[in-house]
Amino acid sequence: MEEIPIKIITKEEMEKILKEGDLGKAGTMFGYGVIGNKKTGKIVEKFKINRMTGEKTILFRDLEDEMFKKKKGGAE
Amino acid sequence: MSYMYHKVCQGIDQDGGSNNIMTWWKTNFNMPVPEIWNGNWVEGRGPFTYNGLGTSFNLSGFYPGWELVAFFCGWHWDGPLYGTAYMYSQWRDENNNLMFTCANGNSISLNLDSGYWQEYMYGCNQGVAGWEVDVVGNYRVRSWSTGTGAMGQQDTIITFSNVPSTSQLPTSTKGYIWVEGNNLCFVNANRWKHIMIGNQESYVDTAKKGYIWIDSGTGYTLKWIGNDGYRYRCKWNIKQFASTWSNGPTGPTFAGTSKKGYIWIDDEFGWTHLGYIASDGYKYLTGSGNYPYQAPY
Repeated sequence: MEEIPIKIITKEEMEKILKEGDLGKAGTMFGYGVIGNKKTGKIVEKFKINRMTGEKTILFRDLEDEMFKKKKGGAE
Repeated sequence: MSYMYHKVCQGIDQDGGSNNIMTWWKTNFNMPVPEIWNGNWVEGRGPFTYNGLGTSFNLSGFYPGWELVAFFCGWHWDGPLYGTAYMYSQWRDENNNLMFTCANGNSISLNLDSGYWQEYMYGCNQGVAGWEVDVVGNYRVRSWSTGTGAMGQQDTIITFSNVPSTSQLPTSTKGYIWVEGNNLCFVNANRWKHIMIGNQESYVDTAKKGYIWIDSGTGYTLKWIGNDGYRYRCKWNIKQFASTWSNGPTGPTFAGTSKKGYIWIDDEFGWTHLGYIASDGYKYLTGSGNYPYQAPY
């Protein structure tokens, strides 16, 4: 086991280190949602929405559910 | 029918998913949050089981710079309903002034036939700080929606008692780190003194009191020698990972093994924890709060 002495660094030094590595990128804030079918009791779609841009990302969709079958077939 | 639900809790378990746990109660500000959303979603509840769900919280033993609770707001719509809804949720202070905006008019499309329902949930946490919870009182969470299926304002009163002082130390003290008694102390980026109480290990030597280092063994923990000459180990550390909750790095962060031993007080993503580079070259986090990835204690 190696005991590594610490080196206390400043904010500027830390930022330089983080830039040298793959560090410090901004993440994204999301809210999450679902659509449910009362008849089958199943969740038929899961999605998230980027809070900053409003972009919706579908995480799961039950293409066998009537909701999507209808839309796929153009019944609406 | 449309309705909203408010859940204010100390932490959550992902229900039926990967058993990911996230706790806010007594943890450092803005710790990264694992994937928690992909659980079994239940109408009127969302995808979680809630730990420490309540409307009244006793902050005895708290320090400024620790998180308290998270507010999850759910919006529910039943079909048939077609259009766009706009959602709002807030934390409000003891004087009913806006303290923090969570959802702020975020839009959602509704294309629900009869027999279908839709829910959306957004969460935001609160901690002890001069700009968040800083005095005893009745705070509140508030939500509403406009547009299709509009829902009127709904408030839930949240009481905080035994709130600690949030006064800050002088700027010049930021970044100080020292051993006091057998504890590791430091002044974080928000200028609060934080005390890390370690797990005692074996006796070393009182002549070495105050030594601080990072262990290169399994776990890459931060260690120090207390005034009693014993070696102490930080109670927890976590390798940086991408948070699904708020801004932060997008994954594990590699600075390079040449940077091992570097340590700093974070003033980027939480302002209350320590960051350091271990001998594997990766960034780790530790702090005075509790470990965030287990049930509240």
